[in-house]
Amino acid sequence: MTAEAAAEPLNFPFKEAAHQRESALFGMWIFLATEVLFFGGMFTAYTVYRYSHWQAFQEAARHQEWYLGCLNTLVLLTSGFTMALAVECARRGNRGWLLGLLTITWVLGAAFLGIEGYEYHSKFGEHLVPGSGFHFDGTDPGGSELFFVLYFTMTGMHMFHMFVGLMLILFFGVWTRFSPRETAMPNRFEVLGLYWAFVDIVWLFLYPLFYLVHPR
Amino acid sequence: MKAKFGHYLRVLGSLYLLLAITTGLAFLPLDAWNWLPSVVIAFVMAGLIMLFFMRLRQSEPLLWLTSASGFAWLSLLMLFVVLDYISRPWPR
Repeated sequence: MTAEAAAEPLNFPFKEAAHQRESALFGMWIFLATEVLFFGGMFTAYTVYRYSHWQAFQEAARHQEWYLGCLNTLVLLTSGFTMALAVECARRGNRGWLLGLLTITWVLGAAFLGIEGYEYHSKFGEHLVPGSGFHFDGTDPGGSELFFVLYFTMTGMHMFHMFVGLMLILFFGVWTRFSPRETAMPNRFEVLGLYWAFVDIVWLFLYPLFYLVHPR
Repeated sequence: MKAKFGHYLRVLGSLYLLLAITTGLAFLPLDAWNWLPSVVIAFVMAGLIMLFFMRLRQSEPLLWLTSASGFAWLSLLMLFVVLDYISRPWPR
């Protein structure tokens, strides 16, 4: 089998496979640009409040476990690697490897959510979840609460994106497994790969902004 | 496929290295400025992922432009919001 062997069946209104592929990628990149702005609003809010509540953010960040954030980054980078390889396999029509790599990516993504869930759990125990149960001994508890509001909102939205990604991997994986062997749909895996890589990128910024502010 | 595997593995290795650097730098006593190196490194890592894992390097200019557009608009938002906050006193 030559490289780039897998070809997608043409859908209306496309007359060429290349055009169909470019349109799929273009559409996904436009969606990702809107996602940059969606997360960008929250990053802007973070910038403003970190500037105005400098000390409070430093104090609040002391309650973050940097090694858990680092481990999560490691897990996510590795899953980005396996997803990139999976896309490569989809383009070559290599179904066995595609399914294997999708499985590894899925497990890594699920591990990420597990670690993050553990962190959320310990935050509840330490009364660091914003709301009526929030308790913080510091110079500016309100400012520190803002740090945790941003932490839960931004990592929560990121986790939601991860969850959607995991569901898509599961759906496309099962679909590939049970579809006829000659059916190759490399475009949808390329688009899925772009989405997954984007979710990786968002985390790359969340990690320093929430875990490396004041590591112990 | 083997060549591709090595290619992606090198990218992953670079990302691991950058992660180690950014984590290590966080422990330096840079005081109020420790966000700067870590955000710069995050941009470098994002660039690596976009170029290689998202295959921008082999993509046509249209996709380069589209991928940059989101960041371009976001930088305008950031720039003007930050300018506003640093150019007048913050009511505490």
